[in-house]
Amino acid sequence: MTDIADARTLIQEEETRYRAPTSESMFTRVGGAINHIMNRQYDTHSFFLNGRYKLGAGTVNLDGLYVFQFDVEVVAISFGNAVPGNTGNTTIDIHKLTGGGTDAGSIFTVKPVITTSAGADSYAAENYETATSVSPSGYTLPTLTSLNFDQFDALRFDLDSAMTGAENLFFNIHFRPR
Amino acid sequence: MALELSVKADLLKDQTNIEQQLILEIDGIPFIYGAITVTKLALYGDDIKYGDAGLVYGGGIPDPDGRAYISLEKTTRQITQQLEVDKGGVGSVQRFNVQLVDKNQEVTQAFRPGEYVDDILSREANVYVGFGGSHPEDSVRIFNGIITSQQASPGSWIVGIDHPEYLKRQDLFTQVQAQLDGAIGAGDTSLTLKNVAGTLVEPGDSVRSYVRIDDELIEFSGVSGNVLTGLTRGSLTSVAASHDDEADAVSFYTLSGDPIDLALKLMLSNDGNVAFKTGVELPAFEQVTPSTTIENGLVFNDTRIKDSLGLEIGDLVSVSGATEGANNFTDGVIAAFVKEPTATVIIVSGPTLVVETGSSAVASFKSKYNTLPTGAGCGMSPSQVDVAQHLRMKTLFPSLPDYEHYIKDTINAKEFITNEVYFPAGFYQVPRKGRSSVNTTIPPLVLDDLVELNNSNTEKAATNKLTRGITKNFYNSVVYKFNVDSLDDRYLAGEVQISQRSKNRINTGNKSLTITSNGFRDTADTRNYIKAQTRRFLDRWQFGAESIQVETNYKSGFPIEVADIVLFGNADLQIPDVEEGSRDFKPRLMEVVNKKLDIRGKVSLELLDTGVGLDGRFGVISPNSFVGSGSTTSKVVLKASFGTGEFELERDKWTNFLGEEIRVRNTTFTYTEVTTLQQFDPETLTAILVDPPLSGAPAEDLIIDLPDYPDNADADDRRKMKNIHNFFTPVVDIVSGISTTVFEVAPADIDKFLVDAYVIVHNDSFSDASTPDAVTDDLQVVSIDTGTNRVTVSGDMGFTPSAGYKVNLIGFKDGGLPYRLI
Repeated sequence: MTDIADARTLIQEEETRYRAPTSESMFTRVGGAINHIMNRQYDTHSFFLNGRYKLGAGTVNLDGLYVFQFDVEVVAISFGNAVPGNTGNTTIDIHKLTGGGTDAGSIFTVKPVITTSAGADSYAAENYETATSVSPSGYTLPTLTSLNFDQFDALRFDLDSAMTGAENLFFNIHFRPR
Repeated sequence: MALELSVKADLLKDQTNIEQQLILEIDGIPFIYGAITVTKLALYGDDIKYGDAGLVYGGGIPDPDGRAYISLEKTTRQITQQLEVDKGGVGSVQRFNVQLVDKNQEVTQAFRPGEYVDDILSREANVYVGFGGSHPEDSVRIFNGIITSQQASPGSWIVGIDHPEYLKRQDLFTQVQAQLDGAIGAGDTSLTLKNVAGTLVEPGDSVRSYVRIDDELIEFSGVSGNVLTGLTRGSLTSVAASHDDEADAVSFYTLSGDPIDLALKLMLSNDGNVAFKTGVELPAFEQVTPSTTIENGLVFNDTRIKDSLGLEIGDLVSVSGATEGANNFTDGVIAAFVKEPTATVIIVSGPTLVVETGSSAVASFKSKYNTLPTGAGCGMSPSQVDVAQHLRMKTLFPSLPDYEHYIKDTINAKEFITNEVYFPAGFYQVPRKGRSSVNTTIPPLVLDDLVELNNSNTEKAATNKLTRGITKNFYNSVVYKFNVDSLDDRYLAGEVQISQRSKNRINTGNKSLTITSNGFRDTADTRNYIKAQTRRFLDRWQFGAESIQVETNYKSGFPIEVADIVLFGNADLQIPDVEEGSRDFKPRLMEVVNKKLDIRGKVSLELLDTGVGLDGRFGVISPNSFVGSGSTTSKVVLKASFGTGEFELERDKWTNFLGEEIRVRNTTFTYTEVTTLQQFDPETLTAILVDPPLSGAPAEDLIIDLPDYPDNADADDRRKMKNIHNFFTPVVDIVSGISTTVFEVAPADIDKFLVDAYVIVHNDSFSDASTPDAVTDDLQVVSIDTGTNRVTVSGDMGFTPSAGYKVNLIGFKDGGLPYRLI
């Protein structure tokens, strides 16, 4: 079995009108367009800590909870900060909550970390669909325990530690319904 | 057609005087036995000289391993294939005898145990027919099997070969009856039986293992000698209980999975899951020629290894004996096949190969379906099973429900696969391509190259008799019994469908096709599938399928096999056409259900029309190709397009279009042009010749297409394409509903309706729909008023449609029925 290649193609009226043949070409275009949507469309939730965020180190539940409305799979993550710090490391943790608020633990086995060697306005990202990533100096990509979350699972953003002087931290989680 | 011929073989078979060759190959015996001299393609390094006798351009040279020892006197001359689809397609198991002249006692010596093989009995053998070309390239395998007998006679040997179906005649999941060795309580998690060591089928892929003691089914996850461990008490709705010492214990298994996967696993699994083929010479890694390397490629000097071994992507290959250590590996996965002029390259994933030539390495192959535990598989090789056709069936029906078979007693593999795996899911077994194959009980669909049979290539046309009756090939109801109880043999669920259309038309009593399924469980998916399959069965038999006996000439009939679909008939045959009510017989698709091939040149066929009285048509998606570079106005080069494989020619998908109109267009339809496909270009394998010439040389990446369904009332206009492929039927909006039997449409739509056309009237959500279930008649148009644009249908829709309701099906202006989903 081979997937039809993703293709952002439009279907022509002449291909589906009365008396038109149902053909390889037509179904390939339909399949390519569907696969394009299935593989490349996603939603994103962003956790932001604006300004100097050192104050939040050791705090759980920063920037609110995000609750999934459908069963989803994570397709990618990205994170970074605008201004690197002087000392220490920034370590992010995200916990999964279930059943309306029960802490089901960290979603990471390896947590995302940013060190002082990270550049200004730098970021790291990993795409699990394509198994590709970018991770510049000063970044440790996380490892997720599972890419799947169920309806009404929630994410809680915690800051385990933070660099002194670092500013504008973000963590994006990109996901799609499954 | 089922038998695949090389381009040269296809041309050779069309010769008036056929120089026929019969060839026998026996696994492990280095000689190739022929009825006449066996020839092969000349290769670099062969010892030939210009002027050698019999050496011609394009011809072959005598194969040094060839032995022209076959005598046709006591060699099987007639092969019979017969289908009985309503009994699961139980084709009689075939046998083929080959008589070998024992010249200088060479055959006796070759067959001596230990000379080349341990014993000639049980060795795999292949029988080919050739037409004067080179072997194996231009030969056609007509029989594959296992040598089951050898008979000496004065001066000759007769070798008896049984079809691979023979291999399915074996017992699997042998029932074990034993006694408890010590009493057990209701919560114990291990137990000991007396004298069962090595007799139970242990749990594994698709198989769960149990013992039944009294009325409790106890699942076990491991066996150590006589001790069963990892017990799950009270399994399959039974109740956990204590049992006395020496209580009777009987084996019980479940076998679960998709029907097609299960059939392949049952046939291809062997004890220990070992390779089906070992010791295949592997002379090179990655380097095909000094200038060509293919990454991670195993280079075999055999252009037909994929077909001869029956290999598929996903099968496993292991290599030993390579000089480079990196080239020795176990269970690499076959990722692709690449066909080279004198070699086949198998690309593997898993190991990281390095270039090596002149290697003395050997390869072994294991089927990806060789996964069942010991005692659960027939141990057939993929060369004996038509794996590709099984996978095609799986593609046709991607939503097959899973089985969960309860195996309470020893099963006969052949009967089980036929009656419990294939038939309830709508498949039937069929011996094709010399292999154990499968087909499905759907109306005729053209899935292969189509052979046309008419007065030009059938004989005894005057005596052709079209037969139809209610004693054979007729059922007006289908009964499914399924979801068998785990402890007794009661079926706990059932489905009955009666065709009222059939009863209205043919006034007879119930004639039921009853299907019992041990493996179907009572789920929504299963019931939906059974309902769909019931309709397919009724489509085939509810109006009495018509059959006809024909004899064909050799060149037309040779490649046809049972279960093939042919386009039969024309007016010159003077056969009555029941549907049309005339003797002007219209070509129609029919299924070959019986074939007798006399290897001396005569072919008899029985054809069955499985689409009599249908309220719709069925077709397959039509092909497309992209235009390649270098085309002219009359010669169109084709690119490999839309998944055409490494071993396939793009133009082959257009075989059924020879003499038919094709359309050349761009993707947006701003350019379209229709011409006729005249022939394949004899000069190049990638081009077709068209006439009339196109207005200009077509640019690269234009699309070759099937033109639209003709917008006229001539049913014969492109009849063949209408029979083979699908076209979109109209959907018409209702302007206003007049009553429960009358609706009005827009003036532009009224000419789409014909009296007797089938229609479904519905709203967008189908909460109002004129067809409550799949077996009840759809409504038909009874009158059309072109003045008021009103259409009257044959019965009560059950609602008065509102503006915006849809009319579906309708069909075509030529009276052609709508295309429906299978």
